[in-house]
Amino acid sequence: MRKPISLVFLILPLFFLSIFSQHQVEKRFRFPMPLIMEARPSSFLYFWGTLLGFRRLSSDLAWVRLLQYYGTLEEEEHIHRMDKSERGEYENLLPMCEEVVRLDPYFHYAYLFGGASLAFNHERYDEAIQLLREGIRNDPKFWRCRLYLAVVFYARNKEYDVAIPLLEEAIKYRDCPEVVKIFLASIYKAKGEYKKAEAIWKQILATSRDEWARSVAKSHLEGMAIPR
Amino acid sequence: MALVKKIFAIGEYTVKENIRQKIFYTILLFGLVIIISSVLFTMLSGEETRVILDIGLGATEIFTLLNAIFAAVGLVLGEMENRSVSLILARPVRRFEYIWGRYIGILSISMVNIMLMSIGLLILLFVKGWTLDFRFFLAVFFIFFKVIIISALAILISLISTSPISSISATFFLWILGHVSDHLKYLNHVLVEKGIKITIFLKAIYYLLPNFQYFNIKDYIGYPGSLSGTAILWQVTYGLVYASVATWLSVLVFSRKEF
Repeated sequence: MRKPISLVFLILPLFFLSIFSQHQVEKRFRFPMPLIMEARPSSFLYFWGTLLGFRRLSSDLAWVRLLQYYGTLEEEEHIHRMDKSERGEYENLLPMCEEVVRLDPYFHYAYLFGGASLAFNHERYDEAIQLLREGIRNDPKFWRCRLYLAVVFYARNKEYDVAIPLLEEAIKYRDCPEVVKIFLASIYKAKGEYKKAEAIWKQILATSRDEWARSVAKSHLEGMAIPR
Repeated sequence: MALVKKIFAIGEYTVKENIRQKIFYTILLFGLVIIISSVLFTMLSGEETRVILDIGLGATEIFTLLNAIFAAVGLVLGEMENRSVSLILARPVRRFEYIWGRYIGILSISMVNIMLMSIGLLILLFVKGWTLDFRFFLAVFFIFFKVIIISALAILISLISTSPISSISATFFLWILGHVSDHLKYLNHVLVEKGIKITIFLKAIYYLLPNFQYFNIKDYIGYPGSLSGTAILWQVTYGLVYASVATWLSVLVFSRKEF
């Protein structure tokens, strides 16, 4: 058996080597997530997820909760009655989106979905701008946030002719949220370009796996069939 | 050579012992079930591959961790409690060989666990049309590094503590602290602003605690920046050195025990 004293002489240099290597790691690697205090998780589930080292998973759970919130009865009313006064307000949409992206600042789809929904479904342009700006701050190289931001600015000023080419570009991407396609089709419809609008609704109906987007497309196609 | 043979013989014995226990299969099966059932979860979220990846890597990590902790605490502490350790030490096996053998055995079984779950996850991801990302393998590799450190600490704690429950709780506590050790810097910053200076004390704790965030690449997968080769090399060095410090400390504690 080794004598304890010789073990101490073995352990001490190893311990200092561990401190040295930790210094070296710190010089080269910084964990790219905000601290728990900055993320401010609203639920103990996300808090514990963060403590146990499951940040992305916590963000996914927050995302699912957001989608459930955004897919309730308020949303159903929105689908069938496009009158502004009948729309659901979803006041917590922005805080919930913010929670998702603070748990995982690189959850790109959450910025796009949240920004587009706030701007194009609820006309809460300032909130959409706030969320998309956070996305640009967290990942300046994610250019789609910039594209969306530009579109939101144009939409806020009702400059639809400027917004259309930007949206046409955006819907070419695989990860483009359905809400952007819906918005583009709505613009075409508002401008009286029914054929273009119809083509987009049909595409959503045929290709989308999003139940909500398909039901919106269906109701619009049914609505458009009457005057024609 | 004889030394390595002895260590590996104890390692092999540990693996066999672990495989014989039902908990190994229960944990493995439960992990695989969680990974497969992540498909159901994707129906709610839309972001299919992301959710499967996150749940899968999370399940791989947590279930391997559980297995490693139960093995470390159950085998080492259990053997000391029922005195069967004396039978092994009565043979020409030195105490440090026993501890290192146990440790290597636990790591081997953890590696098998991680590989099986990762293969299951990869199959599922490919079925869902996932495009291969090199960071997946890095994430799995670093999950193993977390297990390397926590297993070493679990053995150390089980040698110090008196009951399995206290060692399991203490190991979990260290797991949590290892993920928030970066917050100690923030705490120090806040305390200094308030005129409370305990920087040295906090720094000591910071270096004593393991930093699991260095190995938390599964949370780093979506990060647009790259991870340099030198950083990976130093992370690996840190993990190995830290684990060896903990294991030699276990040898030190074990060498002072009387049976």
